[in-house]
Amino acid sequence: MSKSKTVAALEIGTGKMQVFLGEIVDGKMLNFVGSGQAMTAGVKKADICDVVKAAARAQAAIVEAEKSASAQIKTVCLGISGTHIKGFRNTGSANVSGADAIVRREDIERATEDARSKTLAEGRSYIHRICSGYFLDGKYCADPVGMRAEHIDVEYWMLYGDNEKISDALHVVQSFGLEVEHLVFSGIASALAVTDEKQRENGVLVVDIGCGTSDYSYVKHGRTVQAGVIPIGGDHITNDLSFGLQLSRKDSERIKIHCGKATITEDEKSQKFWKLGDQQIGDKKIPMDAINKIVRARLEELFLLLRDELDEFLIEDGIREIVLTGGTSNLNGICELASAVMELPCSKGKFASAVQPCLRYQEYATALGLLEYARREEEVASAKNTGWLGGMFSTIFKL
Amino acid sequence: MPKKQTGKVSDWKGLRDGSAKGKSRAKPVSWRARLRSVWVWTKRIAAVAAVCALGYGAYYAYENIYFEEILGADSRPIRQIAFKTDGAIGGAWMNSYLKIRNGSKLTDVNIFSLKQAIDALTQIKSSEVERVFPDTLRITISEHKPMAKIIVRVDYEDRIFLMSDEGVFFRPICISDADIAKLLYISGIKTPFSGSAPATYPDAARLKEFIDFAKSENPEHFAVWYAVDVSEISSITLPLLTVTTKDGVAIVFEPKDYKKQFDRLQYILRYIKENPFNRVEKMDLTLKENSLVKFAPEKSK
Repeated sequence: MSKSKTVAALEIGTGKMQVFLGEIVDGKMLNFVGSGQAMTAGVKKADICDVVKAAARAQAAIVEAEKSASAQIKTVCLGISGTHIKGFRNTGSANVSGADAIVRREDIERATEDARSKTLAEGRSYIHRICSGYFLDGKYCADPVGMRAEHIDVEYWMLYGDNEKISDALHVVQSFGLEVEHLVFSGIASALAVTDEKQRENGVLVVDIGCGTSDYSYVKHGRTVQAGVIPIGGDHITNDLSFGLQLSRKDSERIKIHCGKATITEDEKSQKFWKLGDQQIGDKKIPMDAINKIVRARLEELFLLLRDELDEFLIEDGIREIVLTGGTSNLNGICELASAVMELPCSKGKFASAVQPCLRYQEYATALGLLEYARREEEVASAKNTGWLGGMFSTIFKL
Repeated sequence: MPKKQTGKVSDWKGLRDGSAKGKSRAKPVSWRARLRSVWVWTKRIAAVAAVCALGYGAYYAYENIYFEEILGADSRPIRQIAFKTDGAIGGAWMNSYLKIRNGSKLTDVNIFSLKQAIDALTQIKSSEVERVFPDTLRITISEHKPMAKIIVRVDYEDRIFLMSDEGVFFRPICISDADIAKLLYISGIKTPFSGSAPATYPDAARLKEFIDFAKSENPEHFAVWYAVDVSEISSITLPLLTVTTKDGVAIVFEPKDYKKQFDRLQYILRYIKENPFNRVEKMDLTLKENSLVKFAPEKSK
């Protein structure tokens, strides 16, 4: 008999609260069953600053998703982002204990334990502790068990956040009587949604440019090597346009969406754009060049910060390509700009063929990635509970 | 090798408030959450109520619904009540006691309440009531057999209770007065009741052995026995059974080695019969080497 589980993916973004409902069948197949969306309130730069308002909007989105799917959810895969999220690399080491110098599982466990056991400062908690790779006598190895070496190193990317901010995010869900099954950094989720196995194996940097922040995740050999947050997003561009061109926020947002371009040609520089579009008194022409300069300046800053963060991987030629996703990645010419700054090929995120065409929008990358993350975790869990006896026990314990 | 860190590594899972696990539910922060909380609890209460109702319904059905009828057995009015007993109670008496109406359908009869009514009779040891489709009600009972009788004062009235060989006291039903008259009276039992129900006499087995031996050894003399006093039967120092005959002779037995005592009694009775003595008042057969026979004084000869 097939085992089905309905899981909700909730992304608390600066611009919107997005809920996707997916049905995971036997931990292998993922069916999209419903969605809900609500405008965000109480969130600034991806940080929850008003729990009550944020919870009300998130819960409205959950209810909408439940109604659309005619299903009630119990567990949520929650995406988290925000400027409080930081990361560092930690290496664990162990000498190979066997006299034959063959690496055994116990050696790896010792090295892993060493890498994972670093304590954080008060008021901070880990969100992810991701194994980035194994090194045998300094050389990378995908699966070290059974290999011959004297020394084993394990690299972990430790992603942590502020306790208060994490608790706020959890409380948004838990106050609705739901359980947070997985807490996933949005950048990691987006990377799962918009890249394929080959890209992740070769080395890809996924940048999810959202409203308030940009989450990045560098994946190589199928493992997340580094992930983090750059505190620049689409809202910064809107604000810059508003200040620079003396426009209201609403007009700035409209101009950004309709004629915002990260790179323009010489011909386009001379073009002008009507502020209101009705060409009446009060309307004014805005040079495209001015818009482009503002947009470009902010995006250049973003990519330069990214370049600084990932400097070591750019030099070593670890990153093969850049994939942009998130709402702001819809800006024209952004890929060209990213490619020029980072000196790497860049493209927009491409969704797997299994994703329905109506969902193939860059804005949905995080929520779709969260569903995929939940499916992968379910797959791992069901692989552990093999056999009818294991299944029976797991069912009883769930009851 | 890097220095190993000590202390607790904090994970985001430690920040979960456990509200979704039902231990300490976090206070809902929005009206939707409150509404949902009410809805969840309503569903839980409804589920518990439904389970309770289902359980009670099943119990009620078990007690009151005749499944044979539901399952389609052919039910007709009762034509025959097959009554079987190993004792004195007759079919007619049982019929009048149970008051099963004429023309009642077999499935209309509540066999559980019938069995309950039958078991309420103290003379009944066990009973079985069953429907034999299409038209027969079978009642099978097992009764206590009377061994002796006892007079008990209940509600300022002397009532005869019979005692079975298992020591159970019961009110006689359908046992003739002649049969009751043949039974020995038992005296010396202080509390024949335990609460409102008659108690069970613990030394019934020893008494039965004595009576059976007496009946088999000397049935003619047993016929003149009137009562037996069992007050000293369980005495540790000198256990005794005192029999009183219809003509007032007291015969004292020890509740063991009956063969020797009855041989002595036989000899004494034969000797008295052959020799013109005064009326015997008492015979004590419990002494070791000889027996004591006490005669009435001359004037009462």
